[in-house]
Amino acid sequence: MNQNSAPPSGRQRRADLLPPETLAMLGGLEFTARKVVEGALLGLHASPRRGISAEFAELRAYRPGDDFRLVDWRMVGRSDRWFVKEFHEDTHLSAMVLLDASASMDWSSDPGRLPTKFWYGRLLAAAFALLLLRQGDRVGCAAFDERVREWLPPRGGRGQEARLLRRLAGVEASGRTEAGEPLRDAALRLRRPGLVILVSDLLVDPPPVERALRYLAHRGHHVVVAHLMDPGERRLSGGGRAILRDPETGDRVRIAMADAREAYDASVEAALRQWKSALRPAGIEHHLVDTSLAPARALRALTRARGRG
Amino acid sequence: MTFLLPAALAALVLVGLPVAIHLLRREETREESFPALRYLLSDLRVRQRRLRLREQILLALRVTAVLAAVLAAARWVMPVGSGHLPPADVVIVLENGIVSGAVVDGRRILDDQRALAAELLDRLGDHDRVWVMPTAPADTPVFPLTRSEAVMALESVEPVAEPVVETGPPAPGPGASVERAVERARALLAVRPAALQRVVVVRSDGARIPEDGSVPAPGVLELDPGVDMPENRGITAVEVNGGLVPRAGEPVTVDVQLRASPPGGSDVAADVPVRLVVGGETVAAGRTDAEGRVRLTLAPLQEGSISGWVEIDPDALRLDDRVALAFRVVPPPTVRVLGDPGRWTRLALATLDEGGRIRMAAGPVPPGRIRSEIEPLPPLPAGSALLVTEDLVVALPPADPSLAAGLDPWIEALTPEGARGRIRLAEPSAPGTFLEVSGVQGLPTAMVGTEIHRRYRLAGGGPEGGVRVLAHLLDGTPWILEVGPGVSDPGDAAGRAPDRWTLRVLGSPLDPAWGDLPTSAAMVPALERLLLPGAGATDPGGPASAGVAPLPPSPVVSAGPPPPGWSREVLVERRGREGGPFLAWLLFVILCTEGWLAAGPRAGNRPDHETSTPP
Repeated sequence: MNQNSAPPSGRQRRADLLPPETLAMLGGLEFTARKVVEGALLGLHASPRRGISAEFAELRAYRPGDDFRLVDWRMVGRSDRWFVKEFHEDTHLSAMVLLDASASMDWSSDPGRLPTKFWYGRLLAAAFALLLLRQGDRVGCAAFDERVREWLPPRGGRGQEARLLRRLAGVEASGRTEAGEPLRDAALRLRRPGLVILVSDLLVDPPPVERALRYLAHRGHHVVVAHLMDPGERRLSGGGRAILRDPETGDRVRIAMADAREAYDASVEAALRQWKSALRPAGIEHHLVDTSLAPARALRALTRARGRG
Repeated sequence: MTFLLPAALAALVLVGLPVAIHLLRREETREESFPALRYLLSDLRVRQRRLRLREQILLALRVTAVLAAVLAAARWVMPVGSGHLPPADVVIVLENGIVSGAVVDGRRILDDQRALAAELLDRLGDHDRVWVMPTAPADTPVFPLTRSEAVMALESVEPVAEPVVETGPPAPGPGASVERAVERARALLAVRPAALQRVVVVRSDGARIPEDGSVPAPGVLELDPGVDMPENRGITAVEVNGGLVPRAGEPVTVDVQLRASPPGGSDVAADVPVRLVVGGETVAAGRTDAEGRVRLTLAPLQEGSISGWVEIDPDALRLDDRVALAFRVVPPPTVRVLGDPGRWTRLALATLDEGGRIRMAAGPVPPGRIRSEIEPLPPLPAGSALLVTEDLVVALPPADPSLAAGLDPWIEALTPEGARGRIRLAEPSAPGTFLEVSGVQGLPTAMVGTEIHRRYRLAGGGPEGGVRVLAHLLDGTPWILEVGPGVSDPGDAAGRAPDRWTLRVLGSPLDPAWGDLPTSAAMVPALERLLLPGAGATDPGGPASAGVAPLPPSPVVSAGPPPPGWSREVLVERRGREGGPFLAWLLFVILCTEGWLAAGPRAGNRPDHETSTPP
């Protein structure tokens, strides 16, 4: 049985664990996103050390003038040599969520039950942004199709929450996807290296997008790609003959589903492998997000990425 | 294409069924939005072409399957070529008589006959030989032709109206010309070595084809174009001056008889305007009575030849709407009687003399070659006589057969110089039969049917000897023979030179004991005609060449599809064999292929329904 169609049980009171169709019934983006974030925060373990960075980096030889509090007295006792401990600098994260708002995102294989990719992506973007904001990070967002349509620079604070939700709620999916140019534009606008989350169905021409993502990584950003995929796109189902129309290009193809299924599925798998193999060498994370699943899983993946950002 | 059961071709409408299903299913294919179309693009072109090709093949297979089933039901004859078959000889007898010229729905029956013949030619092979034999004229030369040459020969055939008056043997009845042509064709084929020989008669009148489909003769195929001819009226008889010779200075009458077809449609022949045209001008006109007759009267004419035609308004059958006629207006001849012609002949001559039709003269024959020929001869046998005019001698044999030989020297002496034929009286034959002069130009029709009780055997040369038969009995025995300079010796232009004459010999004395002619109404006009040199001539220059026109064949053509089944099968073996087994095998292959294609090579057991909605 499809878990998406299962009603929320008592154990599933955390909103981030609700199936998308149930989340879609809760209300607008702001309310839903906040619920998802609250649920996600409940799932996180409390850190014993707060506010400062405690991540050990390395030992180095003592130099005159070093703070005595940083001397590693144990090493002095063992080796009779003076070493001081060095820690990573703990700064606020600057994150940018890039949301694909092209027409291809506004599609669901089961419009009556399953939300569109755009709805799912917008929820995911909003929830992750709120999550980061509540952790004190600076978050911005952008929506693009052939160009950047909305741009909210990364900032922190509760005011940013409202702005961000308002901006995202006002975005509609339309136009063609030319992600390469908008990503380059974003790379130029983001001066401070940080975390860049691309939420897209990646129904684009891969080479320009790959180049743009590598460029972002080259600029020092930690790039994470949330590759949204409707289950109807992952596997071609159904039978008979149909005329399939690309909502972005208007191309029409008349096919027999049964005949095209095997080739289509192989083509999708090959495309996914291609994305992973193209992005991994550049340190870009690629996460496939099934829009029929609860957003908690995708949110956790993005949260883990924040730790690496 | 040949079908033994063409009616089944009506089922060809079923061919539209798979096409309709194909089109309907095309319309049922819905259009759906699918953003991930790019994943299909790599395989798209090939797959789309393959799909379209498969659907077209499926459609073609289904149409072919229906077509094969219909062809099998129609008993399609599969063309296999004739290269492996021995050559065949086929004679196409084209009935091009008067009916073939009828125009029905703006098209001549002959054109339909040609099309029918051409259809038959299509069934022949390149090595086959064809003769195209029109039925008229009867002795048209024919040659072996190829198919393409035969098509051209067909195009050259035109309708031929049968002659108004014929001489010689008895006039043929309707269809006799076809029978003669068939006999001629069979005689022609008899000397040919071909294994397959056929005589194909393309009739203009399908009414004479047996309706039961029986074969009229082995190897003979009869077809007709199946034209339903409308009512027709035509001129069936034209008689000038009631059978009497037109005389100069006297009014001339022309009696015209119209007849309607089919019989019983007399109203069609009544009140019809009839015109007599001479020299391009209408010289007399009238309308027919209820019986379809009309008498046209010409003003008194000068001596000379008159030619023209009688016509009515054209209808479907135009060849019988105009009849040519020619007659000569002559002065009364001067007649001298040598010997004893008998009482009845003298009475007839007196009647003609009294009516101004002849001038009786007494005394010896005027000086000239006739006189010089007869002067040395012994006296005429008792009971025989010679009627001598300026350019004609009519010999009446004696009533006593034992004296007949005495007339032979006279006949021999009076045979014109230059004529190769000789006439001789032989022994009287057995009781005779009725006189038959139908078709004989120039003699009064009233003579027809007169019974001749006894007659001498008239022996003489045939037509090649210059001797012609002016009248004969029903059994073909000649009764009046003629030999003259006009036959073997052209003489001068008018044929009236004093030294030239024509000799006519009767087979019986004009005596009631020998025949009924002397006591019949035909005696006087017959005698008048016999005393005219042009009587019996076939050329228009004769005294009155218009006469009885033969009744045209009934133009009623059988309705409905003309050829019964056997007629279609006669030539089938030249071009192919019945395709039933082949069609059955083809149908089986089609159904198997169609099933395999329709299921799809990888569709498995998934239902082939219209949906693209994922579960």
